[in-house]
Amino acid sequence: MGQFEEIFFWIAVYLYALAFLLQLASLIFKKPSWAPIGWYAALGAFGFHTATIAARWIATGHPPVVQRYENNLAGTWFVMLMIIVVSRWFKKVKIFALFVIPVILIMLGQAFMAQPELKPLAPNFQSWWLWIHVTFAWFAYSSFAVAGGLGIVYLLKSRVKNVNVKPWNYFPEIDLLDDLILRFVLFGFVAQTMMLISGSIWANNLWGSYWSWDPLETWSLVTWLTYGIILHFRLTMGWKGKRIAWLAIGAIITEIITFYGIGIIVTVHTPLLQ
Amino acid sequence: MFESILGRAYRLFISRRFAISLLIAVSFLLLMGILLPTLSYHEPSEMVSFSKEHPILFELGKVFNPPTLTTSWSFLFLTGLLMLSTVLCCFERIRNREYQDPYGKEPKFFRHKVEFSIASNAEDSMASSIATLRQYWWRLGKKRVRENGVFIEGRKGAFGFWGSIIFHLGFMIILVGVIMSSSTRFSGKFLVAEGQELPLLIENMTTVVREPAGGYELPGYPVYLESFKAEIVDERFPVEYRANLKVSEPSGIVTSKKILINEAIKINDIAILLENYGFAPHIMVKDPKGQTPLDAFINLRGRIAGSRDSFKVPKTKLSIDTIFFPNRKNKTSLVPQAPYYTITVKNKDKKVFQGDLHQGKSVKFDGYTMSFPETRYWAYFQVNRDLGIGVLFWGFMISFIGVVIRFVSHDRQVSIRLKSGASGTEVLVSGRSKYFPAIFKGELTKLAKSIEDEQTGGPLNWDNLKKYFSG
Repeated sequence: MGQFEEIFFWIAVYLYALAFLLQLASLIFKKPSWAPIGWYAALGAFGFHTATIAARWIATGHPPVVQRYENNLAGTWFVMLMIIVVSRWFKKVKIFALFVIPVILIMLGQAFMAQPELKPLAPNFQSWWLWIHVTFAWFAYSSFAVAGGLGIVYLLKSRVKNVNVKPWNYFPEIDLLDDLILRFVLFGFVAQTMMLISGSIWANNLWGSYWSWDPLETWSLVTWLTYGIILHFRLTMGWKGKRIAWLAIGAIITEIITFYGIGIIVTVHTPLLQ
Repeated sequence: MFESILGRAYRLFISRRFAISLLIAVSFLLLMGILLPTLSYHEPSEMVSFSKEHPILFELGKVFNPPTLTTSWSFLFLTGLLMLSTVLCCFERIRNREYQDPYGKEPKFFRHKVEFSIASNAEDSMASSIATLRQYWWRLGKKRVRENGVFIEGRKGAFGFWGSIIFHLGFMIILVGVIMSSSTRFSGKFLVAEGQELPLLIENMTTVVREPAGGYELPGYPVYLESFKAEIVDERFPVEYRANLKVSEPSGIVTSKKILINEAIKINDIAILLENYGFAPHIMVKDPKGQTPLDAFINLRGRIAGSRDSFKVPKTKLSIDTIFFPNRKNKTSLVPQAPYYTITVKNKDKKVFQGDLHQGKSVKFDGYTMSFPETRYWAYFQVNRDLGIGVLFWGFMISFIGVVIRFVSHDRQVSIRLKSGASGTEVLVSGRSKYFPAIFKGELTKLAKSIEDEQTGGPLNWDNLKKYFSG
């Protein structure tokens, strides 16, 4: 870890923690004026998070796509990016930072524990297809994670009789939540399609085989098929509301196994993520 | 009777429920396979102990592990049914396209409307409504004049339907590519040292990974490894491996081609990939009679300090265990500089020597002299021929285009009714959307507000001021 990188990293961590505390306090003590301050702290944290990535990129000479540290650093950045971009159009999505930030903090902590070593990229990772593959993987998994989070809020909100009281009125309307779940699942599906395609092309260039039924490949395919089934239920069978919310939450399991299952079995992807 | 069965089968295959059920079945089987231990990714000793502790799971794992499962007849049959069902479903969707039309009375559509009045007359209102629709990229439909007013229609996302069809078409092409690939694919590996020439023939492959059912003959033209280079940073991190292969093509052209990791070379329909490398020390052994039973480059495994390998000296009883050190000064360095081997020599299982053998030096034991004048690299290449790969990648591209279209384009329609009223024009902006009701509600409300603002001058902003001053 470089000197600047470490400074930016810790500033980002402390700002994220501050953002979380302010947003949580605004909900618990019913002080809506604290939430925007928390949001600005989250934006500041995201700025330093970006700076950490940039410092790492400059120091290593490659985008942060290998090792657990770099993947967690980039992955959490994509999740936060999703929230920021969507909140540009749907203001109430900002409250989801409250759920996302603890996950970001845990993942950044895990990243730091992985003892990040600065090293150049090995020859097998020097491919444009790798950048495309990993970038789309993060877009896909962060979209699916956000869709799952929206599903949880949908289910909670659908149980409440009066949604116009605090804190429920901080969250988007229930119909909008339903739309957003579909939007995120669709976007994630598009990104994961590209992830599978680019991974396949890269594998063909590197190993001479576009598919080798590596456990992680198979999990990615199962994840893709799972979200494909959800889309078919929603778009062709007309399933909506609670059923789709439950499916979006349940499907996260496949995503978690795809990402964290790597540590259990040695696969061709192991050097990328350990 | 036969027609009735055929009709029922057809109705079954065009049912989306059936198609989704097949998709779930395929996914479930893959899930089963991946939850069970994949034999090829575990050490044999682990599998032996696993088979003793969990014999049923082990047997299930043998059947359901993805590489075996996906080549089983039952899985291929299921995939075939899914393909057929997908094709027929798409065909039926195109055939019955009119029932998907958002202009029709589709009950699944969400509807919303906004009403307001504006002071200007119907003609001006119509012009500004059309301008606003165009501004927001709505495709204008026919203008209809009815008793209860003038109707202007706009539509977006009609192409989304085709996105879905294109995606499924791409998916079918991918499956065709997979079938073509698995039936025509040849994959083999060969090893060649610097300065060595090898005709590309199956018998020269160290491993044949895959051979098509009908057999395949490699072209047989010679490849010659001119040089190999490993670029190492900070003596620890390899950043590039580069092999220069001289290929004598059948046309008589001799070309020198550079191969990097991730950058295969292509010669006609075959691709050659660089996979691995190692060191090949030139070893000379002279026996007590002055003869030379060994004078060759030995392709030894390993390129980091401490790598172990062994070889036997022909026509003798000598066996030699080696430990490789690429750099004499720095044991952790990967940069080869004065490399040496720590060797243990056994003659008929009796240890006769243990010590270091440095490049350019020789050692003596039991009347033998062993010398090590130079080191070269060896490189391991993969040679592939796959006639389905192009089809597969076209399928990838088409399916990605389809899914992107499906994402950006979703059916929605608006209709603006303009009716002359007592104080100007009554405007009714109504619309329907198939998939995103809440988002559409916002979009429609924004559109109605823009039409209203266009007529009333709208809020005080820079654009409106510019319009005002420009007359």
